[in-house]
Amino acid sequence: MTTEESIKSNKDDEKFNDDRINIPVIKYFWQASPLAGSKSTSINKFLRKISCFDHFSDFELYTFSKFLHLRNYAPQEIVFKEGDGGFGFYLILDGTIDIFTKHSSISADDELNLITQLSKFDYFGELSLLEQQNRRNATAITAKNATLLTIYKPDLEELIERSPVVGAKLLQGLSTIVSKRLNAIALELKLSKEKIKKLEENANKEEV
Amino acid sequence: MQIKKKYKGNTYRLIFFASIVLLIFGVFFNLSRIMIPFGIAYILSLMIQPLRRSLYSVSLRKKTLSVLMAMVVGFMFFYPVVQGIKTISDEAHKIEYYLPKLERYLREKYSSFEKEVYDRFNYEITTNPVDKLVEFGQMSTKSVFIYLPAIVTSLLEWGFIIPLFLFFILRDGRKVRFRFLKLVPNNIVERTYYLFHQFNTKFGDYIFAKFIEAAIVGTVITTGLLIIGYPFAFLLGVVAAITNILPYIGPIVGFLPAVIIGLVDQNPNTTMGAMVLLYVIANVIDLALVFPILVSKIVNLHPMVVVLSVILGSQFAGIVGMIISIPMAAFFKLLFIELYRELYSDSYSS
Repeated sequence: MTTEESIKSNKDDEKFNDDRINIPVIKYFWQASPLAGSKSTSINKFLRKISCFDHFSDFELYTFSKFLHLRNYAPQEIVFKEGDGGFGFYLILDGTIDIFTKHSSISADDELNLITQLSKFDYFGELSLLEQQNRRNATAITAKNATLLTIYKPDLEELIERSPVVGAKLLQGLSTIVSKRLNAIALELKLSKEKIKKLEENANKEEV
Repeated sequence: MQIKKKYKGNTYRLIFFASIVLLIFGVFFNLSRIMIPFGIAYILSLMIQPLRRSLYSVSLRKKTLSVLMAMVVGFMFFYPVVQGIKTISDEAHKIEYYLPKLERYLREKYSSFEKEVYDRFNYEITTNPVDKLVEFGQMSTKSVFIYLPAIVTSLLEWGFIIPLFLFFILRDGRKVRFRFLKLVPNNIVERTYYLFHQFNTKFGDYIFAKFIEAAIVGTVITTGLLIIGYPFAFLLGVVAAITNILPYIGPIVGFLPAVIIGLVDQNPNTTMGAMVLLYVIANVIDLALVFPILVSKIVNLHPMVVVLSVILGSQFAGIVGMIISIPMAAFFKLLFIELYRELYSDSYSS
């Protein structure tokens, strides 16, 4: 190596050293080590397994995880009730959640209808982040001890301001969930209409 | 299935959470030396939210931003205090010259009024309110000068403490909020967070909007008074800006000193008509443009509620109470709506 070249390489080194060290990235790589087993890394690994975060990079998941609240629930504890104002999106880190709806929206009785049971890696309450004044359309009750990760609306707003890319990706993920559900409902509606039509035709034939 | 079982843990958590909140408030309200600078720092942190948002968009890191904001606020406190000592002494000299003038003017007017009453109704007024007024004025001026060193000392103390509090609120605010939310029982966490967020947003936006509104009114009045060559243009502009923060009565209170100066200063160059027109224009700009665009969207309250809340605010906490009463009223309205929904809605709890 000539003297000129060595001076140039030294200058390059100096330039490299002058660059600002990004502490959060170093912290992330440190925590992402397979040997490390902190709570934040286990949350990142958990988030990686959820379908709506498929398009998140590892660092984006790490950024997103900093806006999540970890909450523990006892068995038979109400997470939210039908008709309540919705403000949070829940991810099931551990445990089982029963989702109920009222028998009829008109009746005032307390009878509930179990519609589904959600377990680890499932999520619910996503509409509350998308709608301005959301009202819960079902009741969520823990079937056994549960640990939930939650993102509330103000945190989403802060996430969008602080990390617009992560915020946009989260909203994209939520929109995908909603569009999938809408498609499923549309298909269900189509099938129901066809069934009704057939039943009507059969009834007409019988009358004739 | 029926929801009959009530998870008892939430009741204990609620009691614990309410005790913690009461304890914090109790300590704060009994330690005014901490409460006032902390309250100001908190309001400042809410006020600079819009600025924070725009600075985040240029990828400024949170710690850098916190240091920057603390420095700006520190400078904003120190500069006026240091500069203010000179201005106060200058203005005090001017007041020394103006107060006897005001006294003479009041005595002249009062004696002519007394004479007129005697001529018309043959009745002699024995009491002299001007003496009492002058005595009150002298006492007030004296008390201001007695308390001035204490005020300057506390302002300098605030100059250190407020930027420090602001720095920590900006840097660790989210962390503290997250930890505090862990104490909230599961069944009310969403509503508590929603109300807390609404309170912060309304409060910060309202104070920020009022600050902008006051700055606009102050600038219009100062510039206008300088153009028409009215005395005390800067001081009157500042008074108009500060009093403008008070709704409804603020513009009138801000207008009175200008009228008094105009009456006392019997200078042929002093144009009272132009001054009155200027105050009218400034308030029309405020009422027709600034208020509807900036303030009214933030707090959607009935004018009667606004007036009542300002009166109540002034009774409990003086001028500060008058300023914060409107966002507080907006918050209580929101709280009332939420409680009403909870108690009277047709959900399962009913």
